[in-house]
Amino acid sequence: MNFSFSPDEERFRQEVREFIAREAGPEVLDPRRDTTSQLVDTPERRAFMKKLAQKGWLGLSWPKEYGGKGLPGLYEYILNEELAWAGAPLVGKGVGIIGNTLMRHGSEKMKQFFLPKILRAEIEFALGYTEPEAGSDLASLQLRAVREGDGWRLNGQKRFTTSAHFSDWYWAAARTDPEASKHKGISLFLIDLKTPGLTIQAMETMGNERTNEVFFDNVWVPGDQLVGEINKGWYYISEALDYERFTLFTFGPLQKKFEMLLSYVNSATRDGVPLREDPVVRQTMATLATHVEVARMQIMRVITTAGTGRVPNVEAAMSKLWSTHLGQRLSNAALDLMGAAGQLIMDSPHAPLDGKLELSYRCTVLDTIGGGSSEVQKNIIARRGLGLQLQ
Amino acid sequence: MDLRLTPLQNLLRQSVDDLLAAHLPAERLRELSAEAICFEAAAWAALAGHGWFSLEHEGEAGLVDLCLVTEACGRALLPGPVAATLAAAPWLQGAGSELARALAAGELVAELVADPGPPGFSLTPAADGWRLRGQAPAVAHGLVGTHLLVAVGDDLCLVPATAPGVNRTAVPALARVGFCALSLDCDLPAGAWLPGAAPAVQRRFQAVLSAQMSGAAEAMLRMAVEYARQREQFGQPIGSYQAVQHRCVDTLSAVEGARLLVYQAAWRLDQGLPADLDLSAAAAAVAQCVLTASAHAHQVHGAMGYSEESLLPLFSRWARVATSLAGPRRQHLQQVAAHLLAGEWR
Repeated sequence: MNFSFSPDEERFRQEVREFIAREAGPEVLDPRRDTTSQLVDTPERRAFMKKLAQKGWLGLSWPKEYGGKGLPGLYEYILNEELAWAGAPLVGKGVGIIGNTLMRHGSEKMKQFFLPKILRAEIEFALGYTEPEAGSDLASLQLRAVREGDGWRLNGQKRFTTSAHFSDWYWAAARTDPEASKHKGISLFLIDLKTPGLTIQAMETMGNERTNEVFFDNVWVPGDQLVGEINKGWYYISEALDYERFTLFTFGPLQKKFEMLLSYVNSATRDGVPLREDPVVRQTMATLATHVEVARMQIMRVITTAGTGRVPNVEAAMSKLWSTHLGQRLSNAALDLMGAAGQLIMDSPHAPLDGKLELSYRCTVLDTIGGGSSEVQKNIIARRGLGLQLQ
Repeated sequence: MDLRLTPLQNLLRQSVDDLLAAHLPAERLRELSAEAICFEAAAWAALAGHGWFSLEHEGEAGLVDLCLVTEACGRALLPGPVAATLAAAPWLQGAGSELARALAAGELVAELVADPGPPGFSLTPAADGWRLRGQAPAVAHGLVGTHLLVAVGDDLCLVPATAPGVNRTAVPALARVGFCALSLDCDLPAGAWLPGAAPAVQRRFQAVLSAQMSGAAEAMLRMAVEYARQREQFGQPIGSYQAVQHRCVDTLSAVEGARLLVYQAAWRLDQGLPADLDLSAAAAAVAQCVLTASAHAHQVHGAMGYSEESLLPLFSRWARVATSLAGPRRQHLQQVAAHLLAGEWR
């Protein structure tokens, strides 16, 4: 058992930290963002990702035969933690879900087209799974792909595709066999977002972030853009969701919010009494500190388990479940502690902590829902961690 | 960074589990809970026979490994103050060859009597050593111990339980683990006074007791899951209902989270790193997880868990006693807050 990083890992962390300090400009580190920090949605952010690519830091854990460094996943995690801490975009779906799935299941042509672009940060992806009638029950998705000539004709709709408006390619799940049972009739496609027939419509959220509806109106997709085997999409999605849960989730933002709150508590007074002397405030902060440390441990457990080659599905579910609810508790505690002014948003002159925790309160609402709701996580843990079967 | 147990640690955990399961099957636990002195000498002798009381002394184990041992003891509901004995083991080793022998043979059973607050215990100089006086109304394993480790400020006193001036009176309590009211007015020979030893012993105690409590919490969860698989209502096992499943998951989440904090704290102590904040955070998390595990296990068991026919009450009673022994969550959180607001957060 070892709770510390090795000298090599610490050296790498330091190197990344220095790189970010040198190369990431103010737009890349925009402190006004919360969950949108991780998105590569501006030209400056794209340019920054290209610098990361030039450094050879995309695909750190990819096998060397695919242009990666073949390093333990821990290095990618360290990179993402430093990026997340700084507020910079993360090494995301391209390197993670899409790259890994293509390496495992993609055709040679697909690998040759996409993998180098991913490594060079020349491509951004949007994820198209959820639909109006298919959220937690994702397997009931209805976007229809009908064979036509040597390709497919797609009709239907996706919802909550957050990255659609700034990405290049769409990783979308569609129904290819309506006769089969729902899990067995789904396929994955890679679709150029400039393809005619695709309409992207903005949706605003209570967390200040934009997401999108995407309408497919007779969209034609070439046959060689089917990912892997037909009707195997659900299997690939399950595999990919496990990667999303642990590559996109970092501890840094949670830790940062906790430390912001701690600094506030250390200096604020209420009715002339320093908050830090109030026993209830102390208990609240101590409880949060303990829970934040548990969150850190759980993420480390996911990362170190993944490093042994096993997909840590139960550990990842537990980590996501815990961290997301904690984020909500922390945000709520912050608003309780910051008094009336705590409700002021970022642009208000008197917003404590620049309104960051007020924003967090609104953003964290989604966390226990997206990426697999807490109920879904509990079902996974119950089934795979405790062996309890569903009715 | 590697949060997995080593293969050796997994073997260690398994072997203690197996050993204790052999000595403490359900029927034996029930018998023991009805006895005035709740202690299974054969189980202790077996643990000693495998060297668990001497492992550290022989340089073969660290505190993390001792936590794995006490975790297994918690799972098995081993009667007796194993956490206190293991916490004090290095000092017991050094307190004379007879004590060291007795420890290695599983004949030494030491209970830690923490300072119960005013008037508490006092040490005054006497003819050839010290006079120890004081009272404690409820010492959890007091009747079971061969020795009592009494903390007076930062000092520790090693008192043979049958020494003149040591008065133990059985008192009925929440769990039948050997509670006694203790009154002391006895001479302590020089060798029995361990100045300044209390903080270090208490840190170790906090770690290994936390681990033991997490084991008991895990056992209650397993019982709940097993029960949920078998018990049928409305035509199917209650374990197939989400509400029941989610309750079990909440317990698993609490137990696993607390356990990671315990291992980290023990690891830090093994590495000679500051660990007070970690120990307190772990203790706070464990206090919560034990409560969660008890409450959820009882809820899943329904009225059957309320009946003494079930083993569950033995575990949940012990868990509550252990929580008092460890100190309430509020107290641990106060410690965490003190460290936190003194700028010790990493």
